[in-house]
This record gives sequence, structure tokens and C-alpha cells, in this order.
Amino acid sequence: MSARTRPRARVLVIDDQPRTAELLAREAPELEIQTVRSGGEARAHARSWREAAPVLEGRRPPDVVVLDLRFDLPDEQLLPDERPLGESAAARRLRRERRDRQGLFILERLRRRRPEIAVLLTTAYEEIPFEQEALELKADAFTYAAAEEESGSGRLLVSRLRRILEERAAPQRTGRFFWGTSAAMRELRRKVSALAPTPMPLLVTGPTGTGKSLLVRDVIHPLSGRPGAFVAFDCATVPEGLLQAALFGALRGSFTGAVADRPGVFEAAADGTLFLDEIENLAPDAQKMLLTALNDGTIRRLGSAAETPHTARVVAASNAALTHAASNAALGRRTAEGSFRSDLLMRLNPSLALELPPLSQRREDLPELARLTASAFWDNPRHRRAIASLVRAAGGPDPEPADAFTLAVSEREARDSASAVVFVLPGKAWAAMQRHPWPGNLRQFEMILADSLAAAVYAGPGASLDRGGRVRIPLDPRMLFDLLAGARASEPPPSGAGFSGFAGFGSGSERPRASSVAGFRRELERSALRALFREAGGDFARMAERMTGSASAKEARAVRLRFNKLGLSARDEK
Amino acid sequence: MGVSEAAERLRHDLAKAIRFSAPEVPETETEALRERLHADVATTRRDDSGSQSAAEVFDAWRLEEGRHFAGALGRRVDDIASAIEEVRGLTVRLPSLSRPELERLDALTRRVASECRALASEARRDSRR
Repeated sequence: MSARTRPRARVLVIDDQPRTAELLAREAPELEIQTVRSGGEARAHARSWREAAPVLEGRRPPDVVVLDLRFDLPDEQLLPDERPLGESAAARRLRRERRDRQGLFILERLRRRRPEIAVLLTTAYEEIPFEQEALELKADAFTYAAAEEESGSGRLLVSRLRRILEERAAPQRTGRFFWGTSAAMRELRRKVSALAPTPMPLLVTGPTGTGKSLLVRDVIHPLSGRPGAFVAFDCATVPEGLLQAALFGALRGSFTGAVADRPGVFEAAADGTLFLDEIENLAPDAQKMLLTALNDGTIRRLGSAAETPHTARVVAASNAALTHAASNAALGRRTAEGSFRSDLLMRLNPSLALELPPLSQRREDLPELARLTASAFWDNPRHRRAIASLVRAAGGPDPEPADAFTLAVSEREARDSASAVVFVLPGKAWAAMQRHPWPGNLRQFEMILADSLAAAVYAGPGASLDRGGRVRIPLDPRMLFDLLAGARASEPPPSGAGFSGFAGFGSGSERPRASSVAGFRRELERSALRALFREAGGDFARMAERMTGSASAKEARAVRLRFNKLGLSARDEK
Repeated sequence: MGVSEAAERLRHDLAKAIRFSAPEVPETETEALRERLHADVATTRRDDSGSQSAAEVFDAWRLEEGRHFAGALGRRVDDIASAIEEVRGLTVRLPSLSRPELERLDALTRRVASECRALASEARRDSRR
């Protein structure tokens, strides 16, 4: 899992005709068109799934597959079952259908085996008679659109292919936001590039821990080109009575304690981006005021009769489904229940919602995410000092260069590593991480891996020098399995189940210490909430459910308020 | 088998291939234009057993699917057929075509691609009614 560079992008052409491969060889010499071997012959294109599979599953898989839709092939080479069909009228119909949609059969199989590979379908989208299927299979791009057909479909194919490769070469992280290479995230990246520079309000959806706020702060706001500030506002943390003042500001004397005029977050985000997190928790009155702000472009401070224009661009986020139509089930449920205004939802352009997939749907991104998590751990000066002392104790040189470590997920990777320091995660533990459902998503994955690394560095058996002169720091698989079991246990319990998070506080080093009974009680509560926060993957609704049996917005807000009142911060705990 | 699917097949096999190598800006060099038209019109589809010209691709399609097209769609197919007849004659003489004749052939490839596209969208519209 160390950084690699690829000199030439690899492209596999799957097409029964040779012209696409020939065109690419001629027009895009910077690409490596992969050779396919069939019947003792070498070709620059695979004519069927059978010819393509060895390349896709080989040691040098392509970066991009260029795939045709229609294949004129004998029955024995046609997916789904590569069997003779006979000559009856029904068989002839079936043969035609299989040939017409062979590209989609291949795409479906390819997605199952190699979801990380980008796919360019060499046909116009509107040409596909099975639109829904193609959408679900998430082709990365289609080539020529009907209007462009006359200018030469091959040229357009080359330009689309180059664009896909540029997208793939883009950094895996933007700021702290992790893209990865999964098909869903590639699609999201394209959507974000198109929508971020526009002034329209946006809705970001996705389960907790998928990186919604990072997406807005580190990607959408910088791409917007807006000169103003990025201002984040968590709709769940502010008591209902203070929401209006917090959002729109207040005049002196407008309520008890308002000793001076105070701007709200709309004004703080002038010419910038206002990020409204957990929008589903907004009280009905605040929803109405927000709708007015979005519709009319004006706000009114509490206690003022005058409306003033605002210039903030609003991006809202929800881990609930505001609308089923926008694939966001909690807000949809809330809208159907009437607790979230449908006109406000419509104003947030739900059909353009930026949807972050759960980690369980992008497992191909886990290796890179693990590497980046380890990098972040390595880059922390405090951790680096601790690692340096371990390395010195093992007889190794000071680990200074930033790229001098590897997170190996098997003994073989550890042996093959060229790095001076190797964190060794046993293969079985890595396999368990890859299978894990990750209810708390990226945040939970990063926390568990960072905890395991910290345990290895601060409380592990120490480092050792191997025969290759590398310093090995082993990660404890038992601890990792315990952390994973804890994370699994945090999935919503059956109705009526109680909170088990106190079990770990009865003894040992985690027992809170304080100089008074009140202080002890407070520390105990802090410890319990922190443990619960981790178990719940940072989801306050889930925490509320574990504590009270109800995951309502009201309970979630109460938990979050208490969490903050105890001096805890969701960001620090991540 | 549906008319719409048959029209899509023609668009895939002929319309896409007959201008596959066309550049954004037409070739100024006559021989480059001739070479491109040879690839697109004379060897439109190829496999291990040999190649098919654009006219042969159309003939094979019409033999198999032509009977499905009647009325307005049938007239559209006839229009494509008449363009293809001209393409056929020019393809035979491709090595010796003059510049104006090559440009005429290029224009015909445009027309065939455009007519095939129109046929596919009309057939699709009809099938949705």
C-alpha cells in the first residue's frame, strides 16, 4: 500500500470489431492498448468476455475498458451462458437480443469482478434500449451523443477517454475529503465539478460518517470560486428558541441576553458558502424562514422589521431521507410525515442531490483509504516521535522521509516492502476489515485503523528489525477484531435493547478519575458518551436510540447538546 | 423482433462506422481524405473472414430487417438505400476518384449517418406510441 506511479494508462478494448483499437493506437499513442491472446494469436482488442476476462483478472488490469454494445458473435461466445441456442424462432429472437445487449452483459460481469475499472461505452446513451440497466451498471461515460455523430464518433471516443483518464489521475483526496476510485464516487466527482461553480442551493445526502461536511468544506466551497468564508452550522446543536437568531442574527434587546446587535451565520457567510448540516433537524419556524431566505434572497434579523439581501450560497446536508425521489429516505419520510416542508426540499434541488454512498458499497476503496489513514497517522508529529523511539529501540535509523513507511496487509506485502518502516496488519485481520459492514462508514474505518496503529505504537510489543533491515511494527489482530466486534454491535439493536456501553468502564485504565464525586460523575458521563459516540460511528440519532430507545430528531438533538455541554466535540472525536 | 431494435442495429453497424474516423475539420489533403473514406466506406466492418463495405453492411441488414419497415419508416429506408447506391458506385472507383468526387462521397456518408439516426429515433418514437 505504498504510493505507485504508472507511466502509461492501460486501456482494454472489448469490441468484436478492430477499428476502435486501431483508432486508439493511431490517435492516442500515449496509451497502452492491452494485447489479448486468443487461439495463439495476439490482438489489440478482445472480441468477447471470454477473451477479455484473463486480462481483467490478470496482474496488469486495465485502467479503463472501452466497451461496445452490440457484438456479432456465435452463441458459444455470448453471455450470459455461452451456450448454443438452436435455430427455432425463439432461439433466433434470443440470439438477437443477446447480441444487441452483449455489452451490457459484459458490463454487468465486469462490475462484479472489477468495480474499480472505469468503463467507456462506445455508444450513445439514447441508443441503448435498456437505459435503466445501463444506469444501474454505472458506465463512466458514453461516447458520441446523437448530435455529434456526424463529426466522427471515433474522435469523440478519444476525447472522452482522455477525460476519464484525467479524472482518474486526479488526487484521491481533496483536502481531507477522500474520493477513491469506485464508480459511485467517480460519478459524484463529475456531478460536483458541474454543480459546485453554480450559485444554486445544493443538497448533500448520505449516511453518517461518509464525509458530507468535508465534501462541502474542502471541495464544493473552493470550487465555487466564491470569495467569502465557508461557514458551517449544525442545525441539530442549537436549541430551537435560539435558531432564528443564530441563522439570521438579532438586534440588541430582541431577547433576554441580547446585549448587542449580532450577525447570524447567513451574514457571516456573505459571498461564501453556508453549510447547514443535519437540515432535517430544523424546527418548522426555521424551515419557513430558510425558505424565504432561499426564495427571496433576503433575511431579517430577530427584532428587526427590515429585510436585507444576503449573498450566501446554501448547501444543506442530511443523513436522513428527505425525499425518496432524491434517494434520501429520511428526509422523504420527514416530508411525507409533514415534519419537513416539501417546498423547502424542492428549493434544495433534490433531483441534483449529491449522494455519498456508504463505505460498504465502495469496498474497492478500502486499500487506498487504509493507506491514507496510515499516512495521516504517520504525519502526526507526536506519533512520529513515538515511532522514532520504537525504531531506535529496534536498532533502525530515524524514520524521517515522509514516504518511508508501508502499511502491509499481509506477510507477503511486508516482505516485499521497500520502506524502512512497515506496519504489519495480519492478512486475516485485513480480510475481516474488508468484510465488515462499516455502519459508521469512513469515519469509523479511520477511527478503528488509527486506534489499531496507536495501540501498536504506544502499547504494542514493540518493533523488530527483519532480515531486510526493515523495522516491523505489528498491529494486534485481537484488538482489531475487538474493535470490529464493537463496531458491529453498534448497529441498531432490536427494539427494547438497552445500552451496553458501560460494560467496559467497571475496571482497568479506562475508569474515569476526578477529585470530587461530582467531577467523577461528569467524567463517567463523558467517558460513556465518548464510547457510545464511537460505537455509533458518530451518529447522534443512533446514540439516542441506544440510550432511550428513540432515534427521533428531538432525542438526537438532546444527546448532541449534552455531548457538547460536557465539553466533547464531534470533530475531535472523529 | 421490434422495428425499433432493427433500426438501432442499423445505426450501430452502419451509422456509427461510416464516419468513424472522420476528423473535426475535413482533410485538406486529398490522399488523406481518400484513405479515411477507404477505412470508413470500403472496409466498414471487419472480421477474420474478411471485410464488408458500407453498401454490403446495408444490404445484409435490409435483407434481414427491411420487411419490418413500412409507411414513413419504409420511405426513410428507401432514402438510405438511394444514398447507399451512390456510395456503392463511388466506392468501387475509390482509388481513382477526383477531389470533388471524394467530397461527394464524404457528404454521402454524412447523409447516410444522419438518415440512419433519424430512422432510429422515428422507430423508437413509433414503438412508444
